[in-house]
Amino acid sequence: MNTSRIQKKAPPHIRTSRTAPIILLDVIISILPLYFMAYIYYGLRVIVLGAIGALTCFLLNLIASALSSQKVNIYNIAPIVTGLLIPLALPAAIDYSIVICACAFSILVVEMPFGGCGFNFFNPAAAGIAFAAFCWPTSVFTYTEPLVKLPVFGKIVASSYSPAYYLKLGAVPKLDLVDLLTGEFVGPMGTSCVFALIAGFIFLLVRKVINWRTVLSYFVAVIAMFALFPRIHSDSISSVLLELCSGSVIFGGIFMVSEPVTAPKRNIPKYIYGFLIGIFTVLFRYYGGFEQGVAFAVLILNIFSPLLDLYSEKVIYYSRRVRIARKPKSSE
Amino acid sequence: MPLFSKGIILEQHKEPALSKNILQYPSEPSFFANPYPYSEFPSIEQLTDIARRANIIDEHDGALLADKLSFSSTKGHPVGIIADALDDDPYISSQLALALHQSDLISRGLHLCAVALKIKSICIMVYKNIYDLSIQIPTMIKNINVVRIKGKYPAENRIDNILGKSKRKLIIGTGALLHLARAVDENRIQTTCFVTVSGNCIAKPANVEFPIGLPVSSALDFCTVALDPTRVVVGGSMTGKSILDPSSELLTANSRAVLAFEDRRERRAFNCIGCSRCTEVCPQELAPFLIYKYTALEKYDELYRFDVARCDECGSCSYVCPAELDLADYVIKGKNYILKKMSDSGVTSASEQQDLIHRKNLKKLKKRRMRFVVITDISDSVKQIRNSLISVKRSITANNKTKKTQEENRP
Repeated sequence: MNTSRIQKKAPPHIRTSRTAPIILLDVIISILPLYFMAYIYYGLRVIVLGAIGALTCFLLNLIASALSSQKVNIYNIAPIVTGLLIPLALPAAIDYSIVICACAFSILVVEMPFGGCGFNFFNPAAAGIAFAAFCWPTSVFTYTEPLVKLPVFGKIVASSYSPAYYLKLGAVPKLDLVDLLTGEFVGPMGTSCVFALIAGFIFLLVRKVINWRTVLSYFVAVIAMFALFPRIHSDSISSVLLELCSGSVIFGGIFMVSEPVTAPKRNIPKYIYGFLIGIFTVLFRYYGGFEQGVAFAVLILNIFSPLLDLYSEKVIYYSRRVRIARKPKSSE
Repeated sequence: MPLFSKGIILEQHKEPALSKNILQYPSEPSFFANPYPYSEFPSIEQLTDIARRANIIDEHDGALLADKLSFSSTKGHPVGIIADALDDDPYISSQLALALHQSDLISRGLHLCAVALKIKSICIMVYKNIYDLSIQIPTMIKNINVVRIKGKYPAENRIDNILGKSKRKLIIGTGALLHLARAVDENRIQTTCFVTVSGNCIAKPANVEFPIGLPVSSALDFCTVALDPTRVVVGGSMTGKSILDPSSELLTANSRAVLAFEDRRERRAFNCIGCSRCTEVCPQELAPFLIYKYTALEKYDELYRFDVARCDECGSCSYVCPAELDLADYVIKGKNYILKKMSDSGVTSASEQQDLIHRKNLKKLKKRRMRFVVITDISDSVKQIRNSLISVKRSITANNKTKKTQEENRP
């Protein structure tokens, strides 16, 4: 027996096969149906946008980690997820430079200064989308009609407004149910098709990549707010349907709220976190300056998630003490 | 048993070692001089003396069997005896194999203890979630009930409910029971131990009876090493000790497995991605990711906040970690620091340390509770104190008023 290769390592000596690259790959797979639907509605330009976003994030992450004397890890595909998510919440006619700027912001300002993937306080995708919305509001919130193929290069005139915009003005956009669910209306390129979103969501749930608790409480909050306080003059069911499907509410719930790094870790804080994000999303939509609100709500609640973590530890600590104190001493 | 037990589901990898007969490493048995005349069921004093002379060590907890027997006859008074054939760790099957293949001696040992301690309820406990077996575990072994423990991997904190709710139960490993039966019937000293040799480098995994003191390398060679291993482990695959030089490490009475692995996966440099799997899995409901962060930054004095001393050292958190961090290692480091601090302050036994931890933290709670007590339950003495306080206050305010009026009245 050759003993030269033996190394001393800490237990346990067996590990799960579901490592971080596989989990991240699952997320990428769940994003692909959104790109497929966007390709059907807007043509090849969508794929180019996604590729540019993913490449920018991945390369910038590698360069930044090399410059900050971290270990360069090419298996870290978390930036690719960020780069694929950012263009999905933007219109298909958006300028390539805006996507590159948003991706660079998310990696160089939000993620890397804090130590890279795992140490970031804010959701990088949400931060990138919020950055683009703040800096270029006119080009982020004007869209083109679906089923009109866009050229890959050349100037595109975007002049349509999304149903979310009309909702903000107080009007009721005329959309039938099939169009709402398949996403065949003016809007961000990847957030409108409910069927593709649900397919990705079910895939993520089955593979146990995301935790259902945050997502469930988020949707409960959002639907309750839309049903109880409709801003359009119609019944609550149509208000819920229109508001849910017209913007990036479902997209944000599945891909940004459930993001594990910036979410709290215990179960009850997860419910609180998701619920508050839901309420803030609706408030931003109703009273904010923009027609979308998920990204901002996620960013605001990200600040509180470490606090929620620490306070939940404190609560658990004292609840254990109370349980021990109440128990009669087991002398038998 | 709780409905959703916390922990992890593991592939058990017990075959083909378990279904094979127990192999024998060639060794000479040695005997002790028995001063007592042979009786089928010796009394408890005789049995403890025989166990002491035979030098039997219980592999369940590494204690001397004679000490355990004398303690339970004088102070413990257990209500039941459980033969430990749990083996919930993957790859290990030495205790379960003894219960299946040497059931005569195991039942003899159990009955010896039960008759000596005058206990009627006895059972053998096994782990239920073993699905890759090619033999069946029977419901009765030699008229002794087999209790199956359900649930996820660290099954040992769920054994309280076997044989009634009382916590006074004597748990003896099957190896020690076998050696006890041999000592009573054949006057043999324990010179051997039962060890599972397995892992993905071993060509013929098997349960073998090795003499104590054999180098680990010859134990591995007995079962044919097919690949050059990158890690050799003495003990379980979840909690065992990784060793560097197999020829200088010797087998002891409570080393239950020798495993040789070849790591086929390279470790990637990932940070904690915050997936919260470790907290979901932890059987003690700790937050290993937070403890990891604090110990990595060497903020040991903050660790008491997370109850590190409760850690079971089961290794579940490290197993599930997708970033392949050594969470359990860091948690145990923190736990050892806190326990050392406790022992420096004069507390020695583990139970006392636990008590102290609770007491220290209870002080704050008691202070808070005191307030509630005073408000809700106003006894006579408290009323008196309150009334006197109020009267004192009134007198002071009256004095002040009179002073003020006097000052105002002055020209």
